[in-house]
Amino acid sequence: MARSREEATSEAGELPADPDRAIAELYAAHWHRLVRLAWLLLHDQLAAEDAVQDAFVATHRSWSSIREAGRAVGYLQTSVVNACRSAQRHQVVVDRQNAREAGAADVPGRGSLDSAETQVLYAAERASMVRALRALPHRQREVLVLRYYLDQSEAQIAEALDISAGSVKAHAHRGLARLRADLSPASPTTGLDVPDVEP
Amino acid sequence: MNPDDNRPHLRPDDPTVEIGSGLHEVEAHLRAVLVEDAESIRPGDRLSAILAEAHAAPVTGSGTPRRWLVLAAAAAVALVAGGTFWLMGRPTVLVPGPAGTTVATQGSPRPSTPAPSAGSGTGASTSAATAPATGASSTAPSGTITGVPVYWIGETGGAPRLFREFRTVPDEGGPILSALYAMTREQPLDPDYFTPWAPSSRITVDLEGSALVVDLDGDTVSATTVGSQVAERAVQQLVYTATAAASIAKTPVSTVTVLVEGQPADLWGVVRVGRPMARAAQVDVQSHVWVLAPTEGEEVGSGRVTFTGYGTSFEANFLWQVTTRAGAVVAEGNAMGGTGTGGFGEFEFQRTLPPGDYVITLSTDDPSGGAEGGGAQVDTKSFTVR
Repeated sequence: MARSREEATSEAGELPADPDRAIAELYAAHWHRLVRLAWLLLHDQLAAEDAVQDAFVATHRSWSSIREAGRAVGYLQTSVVNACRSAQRHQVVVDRQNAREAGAADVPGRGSLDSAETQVLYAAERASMVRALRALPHRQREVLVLRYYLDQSEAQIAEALDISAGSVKAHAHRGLARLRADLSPASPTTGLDVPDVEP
Repeated sequence: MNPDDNRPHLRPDDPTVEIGSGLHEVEAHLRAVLVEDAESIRPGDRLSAILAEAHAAPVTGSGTPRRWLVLAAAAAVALVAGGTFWLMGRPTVLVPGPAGTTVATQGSPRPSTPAPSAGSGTGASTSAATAPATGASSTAPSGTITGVPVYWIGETGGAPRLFREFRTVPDEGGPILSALYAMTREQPLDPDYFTPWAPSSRITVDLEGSALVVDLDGDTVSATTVGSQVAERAVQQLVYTATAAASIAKTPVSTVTVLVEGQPADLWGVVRVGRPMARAAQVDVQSHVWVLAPTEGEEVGSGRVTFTGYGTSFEANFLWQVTTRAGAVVAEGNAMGGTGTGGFGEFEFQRTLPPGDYVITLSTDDPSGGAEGGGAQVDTKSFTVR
């Protein structure tokens, strides 16, 4: 697996040795972005914030060695992705999603993505895409979010997810192909069993 | 195919993900949706919580399991306490103390003190510093009962609806009498609620099997301006209070017969009582949303505040907002609870808040914007973070 060293050189020496100050700086620079990343993976804001909080706490506790290795941001990001994956296994998130789907299933014509302020903003098209993304296997979703939300390179994604570059490529391609199939009205081949948002 | 064509900010030597042809439209769509979706949330502020947790003594494993352990331990404590007291069905506020210790406290031991209500709780270390406000109580001083359910009426969604508070009240001879006296003599802690009953000088109860007869004196119904809607709700207020208290007294009742001075009566001139009545359907008389925790006026320790709600809402979706007392929005979001099809359920969410005075507003989701029914139903609680 290729280790990205450019990050190491850009970070080394810039972040303070004091963990409180370092975490405060990292928080200011990355908290919002990472919570949004976690949100895209989980679609549960509380769980997303919890996942990122855990990543920051872990970074704080091992600050001297993480700083030494010089890739605090990469470490945070990998922790967040991993925390999201285990959060998703966790009953709470699953339950919330089930409740959401169950509620939506009784009311055809409404999407299941119902956070307070997004309710009105969702265009049907956007809701379809988000739902199709949620229906992907974990790995495909992770690769696509890192690729197209964080604009990461294949090597960076490979490192963050601890998989080979070839796997990244394969997951990205399969994920995109499946999204295209899911979103194409002519080919309902994907087995999405949630009601369509279109009336 | 060069995917970098439309991403000039990438360094030229950055290897990119190669994808098959024909997928660029999906790529562009996905990118736009991801950005839009990501921007649809407003992350809350957790820096102080992160630093506090990082400085707390590390427990084996990462942060997440620790948080769950704390909750599990607290639940165990609550269970033990619940078994020994009038506490079945009580909401319990769980606040993790430092170093992962947690104590679930069960109401104020002080008699008839309005401010910190029953149901409030603090970690052991913080409650010690603010002595009488709250405390773990396994025995109440003689003369009071803690955790007594009392229903009140509040206007929400365009109609008077029932809300519940757990109170520490004078012991008038068991939970049922104590709850009924409290319903007429006490005032709700939440200023949004009211009771049309006037202070009673005499209430007697007679329990036969699961049938309860409640005899009120004339003082209790001496109020002069009670509208018919409120009067009907007030009868259910009494039925709900009596049945809830009977249930925690382990003598559940199914019907309540209300008499005034031993006779059937027209309450406030508008509602006839004197026949056995059961609880009306929850969805018809109860507010579709309650804030269970924090309770009105409660002081909670700094750190992550746990909010608990109860109710039923469209698609099981509830909206919440934390504001300062001046009305500035500090945090907001949504939470899932109930069945989404009329079934009531409990839900909780957490938010880290700096010390200060706040108001939590929980509301049901009303997609019709008030066009159908009376609009969204709401419950609010003022609380303080130390």
